[in-house]
Amino acid sequence: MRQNTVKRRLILFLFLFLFLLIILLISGRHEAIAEMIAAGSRPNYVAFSPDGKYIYVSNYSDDTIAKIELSTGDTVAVYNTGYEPLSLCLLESKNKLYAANRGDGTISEIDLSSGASVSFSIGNSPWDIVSSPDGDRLYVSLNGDKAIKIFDTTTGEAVATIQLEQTPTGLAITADGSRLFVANRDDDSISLIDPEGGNVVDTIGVGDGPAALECDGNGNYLYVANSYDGTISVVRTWDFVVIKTVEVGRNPIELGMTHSGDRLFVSCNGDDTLYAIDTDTLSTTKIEIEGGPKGLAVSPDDSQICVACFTSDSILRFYNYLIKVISISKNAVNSQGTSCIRWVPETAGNYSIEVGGNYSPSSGTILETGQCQQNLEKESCIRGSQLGQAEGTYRIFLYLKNDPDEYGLNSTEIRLDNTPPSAPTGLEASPGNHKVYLAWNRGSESDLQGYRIYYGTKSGIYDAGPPITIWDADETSYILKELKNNVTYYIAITAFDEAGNESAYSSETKSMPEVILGLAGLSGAKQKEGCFIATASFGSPDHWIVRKFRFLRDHYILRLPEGRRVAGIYYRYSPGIARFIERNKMVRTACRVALLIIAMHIISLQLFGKIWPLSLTIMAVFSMLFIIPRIRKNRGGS
Amino acid sequence: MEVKTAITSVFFGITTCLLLFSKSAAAVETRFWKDLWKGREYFVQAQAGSYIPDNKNWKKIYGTDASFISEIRGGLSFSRNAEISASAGFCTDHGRGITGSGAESRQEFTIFLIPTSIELSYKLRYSDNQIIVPALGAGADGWYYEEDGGEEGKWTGFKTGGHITMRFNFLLDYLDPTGAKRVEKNYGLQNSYLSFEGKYISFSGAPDFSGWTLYIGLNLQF
Repeated sequence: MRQNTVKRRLILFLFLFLFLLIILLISGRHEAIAEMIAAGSRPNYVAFSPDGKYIYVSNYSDDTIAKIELSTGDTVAVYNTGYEPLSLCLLESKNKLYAANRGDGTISEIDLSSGASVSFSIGNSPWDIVSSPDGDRLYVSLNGDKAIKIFDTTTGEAVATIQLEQTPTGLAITADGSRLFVANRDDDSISLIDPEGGNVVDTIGVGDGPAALECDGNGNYLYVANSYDGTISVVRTWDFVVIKTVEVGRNPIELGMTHSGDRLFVSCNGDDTLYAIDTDTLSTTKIEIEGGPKGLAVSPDDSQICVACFTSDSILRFYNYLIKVISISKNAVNSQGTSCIRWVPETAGNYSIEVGGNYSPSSGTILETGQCQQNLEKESCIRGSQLGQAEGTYRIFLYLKNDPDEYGLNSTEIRLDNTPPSAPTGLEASPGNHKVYLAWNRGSESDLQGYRIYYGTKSGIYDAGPPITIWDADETSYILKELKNNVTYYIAITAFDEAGNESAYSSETKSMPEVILGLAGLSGAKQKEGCFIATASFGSPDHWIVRKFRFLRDHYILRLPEGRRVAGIYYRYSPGIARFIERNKMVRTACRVALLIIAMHIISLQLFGKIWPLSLTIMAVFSMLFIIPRIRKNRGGS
Repeated sequence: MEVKTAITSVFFGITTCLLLFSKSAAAVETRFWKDLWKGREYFVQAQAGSYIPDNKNWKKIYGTDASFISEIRGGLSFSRNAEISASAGFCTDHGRGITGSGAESRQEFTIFLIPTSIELSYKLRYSDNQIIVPALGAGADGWYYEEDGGEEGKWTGFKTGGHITMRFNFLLDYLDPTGAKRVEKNYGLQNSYLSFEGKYISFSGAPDFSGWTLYIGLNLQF
């Protein structure tokens, strides 16, 4: 009996051990799939090994190239280079890696078999390197010499120089090696160069500050990263014409295209974003990352992307599945507030939304998990209280795992802010006719979003109407309308910020709407009134039909520019017509009928918000039946 | 403000044209006019200055004691001492309305005034080259007004009244007699004066536009 118990305990222990082992293996695998990998100091450019298992990183401050094993994140080799290595060029056929060393004007050649490194002097400020298809020639743009040097990889010598008029930066070459393109950053142009002839064939203008170039696989299109204006110029190569410009983030600095040619990645150093451009539709997906993205590379099988994060000394690696963040309802929330993220996954699978972490699933606090369908929009709402306790900016990560355990990711930021803005100052109220004019000082907070106006007829009790919200922090005046004249209104305002924090009430002010007069009005001069014809027809400016016409004038006609023009013409000619109506009884009666019908329509407009055509007929008949006998009676009387 | 600027520009434009084309005007002046007005002078005066209304509400609404006003006056001198003239001017200002109880509002108001007048003046002029010519005058006024209060409405009307004037004309020919003679010979301009004028206008009834106008201007006698 006792032996059985021991056996059971052993079996249970074994199961538990196996369970924990599986969990550890799975979690370990997750961390290896999408992650930030430590690199050297100031990683600048990256290149995949031909088998996609390693990534080479040029460390700008270390003067080294690190070889990192992607499955473990370990640096397996470090190669010395010249001073300040910049771009990399890997020649698979020769098993060699070349780096352009901007600081000392050399290029480093690293034999990947032996790890031997040798540097060749090439010219001032080498910037970018591309190779001919056979790998025998390297083209190196020399920023300091306004030239492109042609380097023979077999002999290890510079064999020719293509002299340029502009300062070259990025280079690109077509797959067949027949056309070489160079970006002239200071000239806002790119040039087409014949590599064989060594001459500039054509130069065209692109966006502001072209820095990097990328050619698609079949050489039909060239993409230009314009670093100063945050755009990508799409150039059709056969006629060398810019056919489209796509907006991306600030300071796009490097381009990377999938080998299938369906997607172009752009790293934007100015706002820490990565853009994926669909090369068919040219639609963009923004991926927010951290750490100053610079160089990027796409793995040979197009499944992964590596981005050198210059300021965080790391490499960000993720799968080529995108999560498109469509919108975020609030960039800042308080602990009681909620912000909703609308997003679309590019593949079906399990997703998780986490706050914090290091780009590895489960490295942060998981807020939400679930399943999602391919290209089906989802909305995930995050409460401020879920972000944390301390105020500050929290990064929200969206992870997606599909069936073959491939990950997509994106991230965005939400700021937790529980500090309300200060109460608005300088609130002033001045009366108007059925209205009160308000003005106040703008608050000094940078995240101020607007103001709320509270008003009532008793001090401290703001119940005369719902608070009025102004969604513009720069708007510092408002007209409270449709108030009762000769009633004192007490008014206070509050300010609110992006997170929804509302300030205390401002100091209260009061005002009593009254009829407003100018000099002439105060002196008792007669106002120029509208509705001359109606007044003449009905004999009094206070007749209810005349009042309806005044309503029509004030609420509809004078609010439109055309209406005001018509009113101007009416005021010019109607006094004469009114005098004629006053003198002629028959005309006056006819006008009454016509105006009565129109008045009915105004009532219809007031009550129902639209004109009822049927009422025209009914009212016309009714009016005629009512008025014609009176006309006859008047005639008989006279 | 644009209207005021436009009117002022037109005003000074007309004055400049009168100066520039007075030669041709003189040429066109036919014998008929010479015969008819033999021994008589006619004059044109362009002036601008301040309108200082008595009405205290003006300052409350338009925020100033004195508004800019401009005027063109023209007339005939029957003798060395007497002249009759007519004038038309323009004045506008922009401010904010007030309630019946005097509380200030933010409702904007704009007033346009077109003052017109006729006047009989007596000049204390005893010689053609008298340097300073004082004058006293009186006349009738008709002022068109239009006050626009936006949503609050518009008030327009025409007010009549009377005025008395005191004017001092300083002979500019004295500064450059040779040039003055040449201009007289070539253009028919007999005298030109720098004119300072103070006028008190009185109206009865509302609205009350009574007040002073103080002008400085240029008087050209042909």
